[in-house]
Amino acid sequence: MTPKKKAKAITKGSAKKTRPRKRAAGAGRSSSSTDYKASWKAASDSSRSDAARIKDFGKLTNAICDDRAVLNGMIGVLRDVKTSLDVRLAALAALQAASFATIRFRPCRPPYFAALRALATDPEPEMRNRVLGLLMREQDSLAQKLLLDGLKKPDKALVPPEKALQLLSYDVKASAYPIARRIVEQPPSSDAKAEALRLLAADAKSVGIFEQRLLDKKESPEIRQISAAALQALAPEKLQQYARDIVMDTTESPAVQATSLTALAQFGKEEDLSKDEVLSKRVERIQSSDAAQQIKQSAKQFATKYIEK
Amino acid sequence: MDVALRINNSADPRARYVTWAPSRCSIRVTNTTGIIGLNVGVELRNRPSTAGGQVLFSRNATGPWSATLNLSLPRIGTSVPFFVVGRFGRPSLADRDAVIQVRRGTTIVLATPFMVRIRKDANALTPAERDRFIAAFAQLNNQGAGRFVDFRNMHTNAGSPEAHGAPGFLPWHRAYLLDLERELQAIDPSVTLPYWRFDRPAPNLFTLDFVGVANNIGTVQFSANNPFQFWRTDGVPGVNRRPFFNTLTAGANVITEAATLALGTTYDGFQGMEGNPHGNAHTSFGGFISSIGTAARDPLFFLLHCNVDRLWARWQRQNNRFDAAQAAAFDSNLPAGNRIGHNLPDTMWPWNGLTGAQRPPTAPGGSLAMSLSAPAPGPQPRVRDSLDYQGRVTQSARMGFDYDDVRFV
Amino acid sequence: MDLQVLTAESSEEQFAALVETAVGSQSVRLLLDLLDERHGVYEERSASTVARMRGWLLELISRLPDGAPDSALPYVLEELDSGRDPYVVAAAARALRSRHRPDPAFAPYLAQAIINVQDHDEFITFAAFGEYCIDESGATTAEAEVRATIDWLHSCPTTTLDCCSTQPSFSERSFAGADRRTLDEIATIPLQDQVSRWTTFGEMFQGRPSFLVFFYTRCDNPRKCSLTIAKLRSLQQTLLERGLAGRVRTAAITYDPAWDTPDRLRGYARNRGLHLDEENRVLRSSAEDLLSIRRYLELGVTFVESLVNHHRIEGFLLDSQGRVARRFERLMWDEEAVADSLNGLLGEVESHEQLVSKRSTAEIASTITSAMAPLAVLGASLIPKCPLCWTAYMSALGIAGLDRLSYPYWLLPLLSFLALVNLGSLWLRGRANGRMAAFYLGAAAVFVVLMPTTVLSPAWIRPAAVVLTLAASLMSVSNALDRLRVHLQLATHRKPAGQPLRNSATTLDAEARRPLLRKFSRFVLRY
Repeated sequence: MTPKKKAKAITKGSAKKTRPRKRAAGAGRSSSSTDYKASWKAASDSSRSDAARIKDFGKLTNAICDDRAVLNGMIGVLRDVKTSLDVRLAALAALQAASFATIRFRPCRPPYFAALRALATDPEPEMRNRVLGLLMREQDSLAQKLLLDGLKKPDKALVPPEKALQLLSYDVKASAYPIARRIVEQPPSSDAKAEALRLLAADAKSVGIFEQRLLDKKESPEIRQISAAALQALAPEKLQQYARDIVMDTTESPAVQATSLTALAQFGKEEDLSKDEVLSKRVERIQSSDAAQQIKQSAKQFATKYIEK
Repeated sequence: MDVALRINNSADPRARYVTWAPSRCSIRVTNTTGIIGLNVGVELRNRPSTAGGQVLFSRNATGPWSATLNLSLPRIGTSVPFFVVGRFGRPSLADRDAVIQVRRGTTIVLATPFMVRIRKDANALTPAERDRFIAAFAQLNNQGAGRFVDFRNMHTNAGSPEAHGAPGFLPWHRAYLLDLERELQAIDPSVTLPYWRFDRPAPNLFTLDFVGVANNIGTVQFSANNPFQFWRTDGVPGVNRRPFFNTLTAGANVITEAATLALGTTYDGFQGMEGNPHGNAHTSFGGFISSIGTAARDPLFFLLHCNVDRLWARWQRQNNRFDAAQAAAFDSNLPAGNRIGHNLPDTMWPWNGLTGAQRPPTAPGGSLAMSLSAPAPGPQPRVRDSLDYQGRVTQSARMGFDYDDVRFV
Repeated sequence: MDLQVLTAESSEEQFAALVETAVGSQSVRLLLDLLDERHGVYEERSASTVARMRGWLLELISRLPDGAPDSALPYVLEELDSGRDPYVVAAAARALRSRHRPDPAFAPYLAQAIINVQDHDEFITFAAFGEYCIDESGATTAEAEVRATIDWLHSCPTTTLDCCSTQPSFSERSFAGADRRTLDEIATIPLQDQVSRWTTFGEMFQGRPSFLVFFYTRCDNPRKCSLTIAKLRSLQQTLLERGLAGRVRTAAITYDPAWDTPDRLRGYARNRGLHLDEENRVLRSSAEDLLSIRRYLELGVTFVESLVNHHRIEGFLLDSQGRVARRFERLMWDEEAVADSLNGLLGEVESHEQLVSKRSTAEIASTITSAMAPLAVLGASLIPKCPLCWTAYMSALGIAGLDRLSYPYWLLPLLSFLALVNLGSLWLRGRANGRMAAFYLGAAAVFVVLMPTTVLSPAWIRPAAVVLTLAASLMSVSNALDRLRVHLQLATHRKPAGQPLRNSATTLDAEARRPLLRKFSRFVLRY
């Protein structure tokens, strides 16, 4: 369609307000009118058991896009802090599932999104957790602001720091790197440190941080494995060399050796590794030793690719 | 005496992959030493085995099918056509574990290895099958720098109207999965996409050695020898996925398979499965998989959609809905029609390369990957091409994939 | 009130307060300065914060008594054309609507804006900076604002949509002729391409007209970088169809060199079908050098650490000397227009090459003539012109038979002295030329002549010495080869690999000597 025709088509309908259509053009007859009205009546009946209501919510996914009353009612249940958490979460799941029908969900999105923003500070931690995740996956600026504020001032935190860091990684431009670096140096918890490192794994300037942690035998295997994965993307040639050194070092952690062997097997240069007899001998010794199953499996992967060919 | 065998109309070993649907084959004499007379009789059969792939033979695409086939081959080398179908219930476990033996009397004159390559339940894969799949997938991802980035970019908010909320939802995803699967097969031809049967527990799927186990905040952990530990999308390593159900003992919060198949006997009823179970399967988790824009960042997403596609395949077989000319097989919404990309004759983005206007601004990934074992649906598939995936209506429309529990014969 | 105080360290509250003051005092210039992507206030902020700030700016501009001025229009249309954030798009629609004169040319941008936001619209409020809507009350949406602006377009009495046949060229700024700055500042900046080959900015962009775009692989706006590279591919196709492929270059440089390794560059380009070869590349510089490029080309990009937090669409037409001939900003450029411009630049090169070619032919002829001058001199000097010359020839012939005479004891010191005088002359002239080859030849000749006559002095020694001496003299007086080489280099616009062009001083030296030689030739020939 040329820009002229496109402009014409749009302007023909410009005066109308957008509202959910009874049936979006070409969207299919996806919800029978009688069925969903009955389901909605049952679901919105607060005298019924939570389990029964949750089951009914599951049947209303398609109706949300077709009927504004169902949409508004569902959002009302979601926002109602007096309703049980499980029922509210079921309403959230139904709305979320409906959002997958992108075209039909268009007019529903503004009120849905507004509700999510309101719920970012919900008294229920699980609700905040889920809602902030949904918002951050849409790279919402309010959610970013709330999470960063919570990291800078723990008394304002809406979720634990590791969760905040995890969610902030959805947007690499969220300006979270400075605080992530601080947390790596002074972690409130090991989980927070791990998530801070994962977030920094998208930062090309953090190669030094990952090198330091990978090579530090005092670090936990999880931190070292995260560092190896980060380096494989940020500085692959360095990681390949470190991985080889780690495999050759008999005093190394088996878990880190297993990760190193996997990195070599998956991403190593075939022309170099197939000629590396010293490394091959080491791998064969690992295979025949009584080492942990994990490392033996990685050794087998390596051997299959580079030794047994 | 020597003979030459062609599977899927090709002598290329890369074409030697069959499914439950008929594959066109041919055989001819290439060396007449020891042949007396104008013709020579041969018998085609499977190599005896208790496990691994097996086929059935027939002279015609419509059967009857049998475990052996006797053919008379002209001495002068004229090709004799025949068909094979994978024997239902006997898919291959590894590449080339199936063998067609050509016998003349008691002498085996030719033994051609091939594979009955079938999409399977992820929860039931052997460790070797699982590991091959993961290795190929991780290589396709290549820490965020591999071809997988195209598949991630095909399934974003920008491209979502091409694939969701309209009747083309199922055809589009079928083409999408096939494209990905063929890319995986370019790395390891023995690999198929497994499906996650989301209405049942899948304790072998949600493990450190497969799609990972989430910690309490939803960061997925992998074992040290799982290549997925190097998974990276959008520049960020790892997978975020927090299940809202017990993955070891329960299925996702979806309607049962029986209820799904009972959604309607016509497409416009069945397509409601986009909401439940499809949407519900997505939203049974927090994390990447629960939002359209980020869902393709999680490898599990493809196993989820493989099951969605399998459900469609099962519904098609149950109701005989393979023919695009049949009104009940698709919701064309006539006379108004559907949004562009959701009508039977429409080509599908991104494989059609169309951008701008009603289409997204770019078309990542180029045309749909080709396969030597099945030329369909072609580089720029149309919506209607996705329906006849087994070639029931037109034999040449066969797309080269099948499910372990959706038979052809 | 001084908006210069707004920096990367300013808080958002300070920003809001100052810009609201600017609106109150109608300081349009200051507001427009803030719309420039390069303003320091956007550095080191998250992308979403920058979006909020810019959206708020556009909203405030819409509140000016005369509405959004013409100079704000490119920013407004840019957000409608390629913006994804509903807040900014809504503000842009309001800013457009604030103008007094609807223009049907805006219609395509509004149509595009609806497509851009319709799948992720949200409730928006412009009651105050930094406010978010948590329900419908008092809220608008991006789509509603765009549609309201479309209705405003309808109010234009002369508007029919049939008249919006072409897009206004808001996106171009042309530099013509003398505005083209030289590339000296950035010519030597190293660039690495998608297969890890190194080149420099000068080597890449001098010699042929080029089209250069900027992008980065982590751009999450499909209507910016992804589309830019996809359109670059489309441009390559257009150039191929027009027979321009191989005669012009296309290139893309990343804003994110630390992350965009050659592998990532190659993958990104390949995934969008971009053709890559010697003349068509995707490149990265170092982070430090990117600053120089950014400064030189006045790139519209800001960063949070090394990540781009905001950038505009931009493309540059570079002439055969790598100077900016034309730039496209904000709105996506059209492949046909770019191909036309490249063709035009190519025409400039070919005209110049033809001129140089003509000049070269004349120069070569002149050079050959000049090269002949010493020969003419030599020839003229050899023709006997007077009794003394005849005597000299007889003497020369006699000298040839000198060895038959009995040895005059004074001859060797005399000849040695004359040889040294000749050598000294060669040395002096060689110093002046910067070329010492003639001197070395002459020195070799002297050495050969002065070697003792032993078994190590074969019979060909003396003739060889004569030849060497003659060659040294001719070389010394002739700079013909020198001039010829310089002119050939200029004619092909290339420097020999690894060698700088001769500096202008030396060239001038050689150039200056030619008239002298001509004068001398004429003087000799007169006699």
